[in-house]
Amino acid sequence: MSLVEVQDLKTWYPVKTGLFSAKKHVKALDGVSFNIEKGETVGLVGESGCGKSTLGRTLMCLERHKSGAYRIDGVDISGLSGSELRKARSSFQMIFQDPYGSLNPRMTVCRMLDEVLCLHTKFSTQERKDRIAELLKMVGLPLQAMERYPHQFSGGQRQRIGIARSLAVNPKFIVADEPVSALDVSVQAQIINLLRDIQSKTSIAYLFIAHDLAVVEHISSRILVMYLGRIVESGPAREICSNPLHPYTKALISAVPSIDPATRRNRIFLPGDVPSPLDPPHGCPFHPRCPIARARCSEEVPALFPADSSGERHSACFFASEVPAM
Amino acid sequence: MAAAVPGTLRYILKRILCGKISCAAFIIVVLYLLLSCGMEIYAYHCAYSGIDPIYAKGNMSMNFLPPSAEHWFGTDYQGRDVFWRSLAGAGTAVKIGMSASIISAVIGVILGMLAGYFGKWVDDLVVWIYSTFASMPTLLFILAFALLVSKGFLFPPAAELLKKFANVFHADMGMIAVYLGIGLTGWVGLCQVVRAETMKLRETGYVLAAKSMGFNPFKIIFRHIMPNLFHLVIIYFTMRFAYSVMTEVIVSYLGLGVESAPSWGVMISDGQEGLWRGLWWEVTAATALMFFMVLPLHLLGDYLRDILDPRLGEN
Repeated sequence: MSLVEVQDLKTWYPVKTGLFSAKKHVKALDGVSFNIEKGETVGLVGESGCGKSTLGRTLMCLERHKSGAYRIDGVDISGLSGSELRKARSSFQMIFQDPYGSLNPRMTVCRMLDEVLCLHTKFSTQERKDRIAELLKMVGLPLQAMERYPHQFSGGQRQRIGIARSLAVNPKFIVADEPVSALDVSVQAQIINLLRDIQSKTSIAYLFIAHDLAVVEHISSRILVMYLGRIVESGPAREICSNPLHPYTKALISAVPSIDPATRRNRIFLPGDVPSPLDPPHGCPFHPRCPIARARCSEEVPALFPADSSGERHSACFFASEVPAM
Repeated sequence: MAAAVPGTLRYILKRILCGKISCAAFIIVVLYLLLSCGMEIYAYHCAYSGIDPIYAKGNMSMNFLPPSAEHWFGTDYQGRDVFWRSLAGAGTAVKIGMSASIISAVIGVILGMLAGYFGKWVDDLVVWIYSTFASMPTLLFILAFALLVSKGFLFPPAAELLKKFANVFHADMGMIAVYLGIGLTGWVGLCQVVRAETMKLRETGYVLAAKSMGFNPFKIIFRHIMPNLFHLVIIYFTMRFAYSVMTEVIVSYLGLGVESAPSWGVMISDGQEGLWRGLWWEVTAATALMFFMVLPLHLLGDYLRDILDPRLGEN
């Protein structure tokens, strides 16, 4: 049994379009299924508005899902509510994108962490203090940081505090929602290495959300590619990046800039914009922009089928075998 | 030692004391507060030992005396000293300003935060309530309420309860009515602002983080949201304070509020009869003391808004 099991998860937001028109929904997540094993890092990529963050927030129960189910560590989180859900929350945590907004400006680091420990543990005051010191050491902050306020730290340090906070309750699974996209590149590397170190010590599983393929390739063992609320391709990180089996992934990878002129990839330009999730196209959601679309693509929705013999790679394209030659 | 965090009391105090006008306004307001505390203690002392307080001691043979070394602001129609009466009036005004603003702030902040955080039907209900209150003419509501309470048209058990309150606070029923009346009508503006701010804060990272930590909604509201919108409460509290003082004067002037205690409104109403005979000092004293209290409060409120409201930009 996997640590995280997600089955056909849907999150739809109701939208009022007019007084007399039928109620519509933004299908931010439209049937997503995947598993994450213990101690594994799964990368989630896709362009803005494709539902990456919604997936993260839905898994954290910050958004109500419409249908489907997900289990974390064998507990069906999707069926919980109220105080049961609040208790179960210690097994899954989130690292937020914006290190400036994710820390309460009126609380010292010590109070912030102490509050969390008070809620989920039965430690004495001294034990809590020790644990806070241990957490700060783990994320590479000096002990003096304890009595400081968030505005006295830099972006990278704040992100470390955010990480310490999510580690405080010993979670088994962490959703990292673009944890490094607000930081500058040298700090990005530090935070990513920190996340890796923590994983090797505690065997936490990550769902690492990012729009930067290079970062995701570096940290993840597997990658999920999302487009318009669906997963269009999944598989081991290296193979996806070297040999994509979905035209969208191929276009995404070709867009990664390269400074070496000899290895400059053939850039694939996708025409048009991402269609509105209010009104997704018929058939395959990608077909209006796809260079190899056929008549079948506008009629049927492709499921995520196995795309190679190993059974590890899946692609939601009818013509996955033609993608490498694109 | 941590540096002052923007928005904390220490930070606010520091900023206030840096500005010339704000510093002066702040000092005047503090003086008024001290004065009213002094007057209140004196009133309690007089009530316990059974002596007439200096501002209530009348001498009919000495009435309508103009300002002199003995009676700085002259005497009124009962021969009472106007200087001491206007100082005691400051005590009444501060008492009413404080309690009415506290009532408004508590109602406004709690309803606003609940509406903003929970949304849905809670929000609809709160919006409905404050729209109803906002559509009533404030002064008429206060007058009706004061009439109801002070003239004893209230449901008996409720009147009994209010009487007990009145005894505790050393005030007559009319004053309690004005406290409640001004407090119950003054929360709408603050409630709207707090609701909007809560809606904004509800989506910030640290509130989401607190939610995903598993804190219960009330802990999130009081620990993470309230401290971060407290600057709004401070601004509105100062503004409401000034407004409450003026409303008290108007209601007392109309003869519905304060009866036994000295009040600027009552003084103005008493003094206006003598104005055409040239007996200007009673009205002048009351008006001047009110003016020098309300003006600094407004200045302070404006200044607080400048330094605390992020929408106006940091200067």
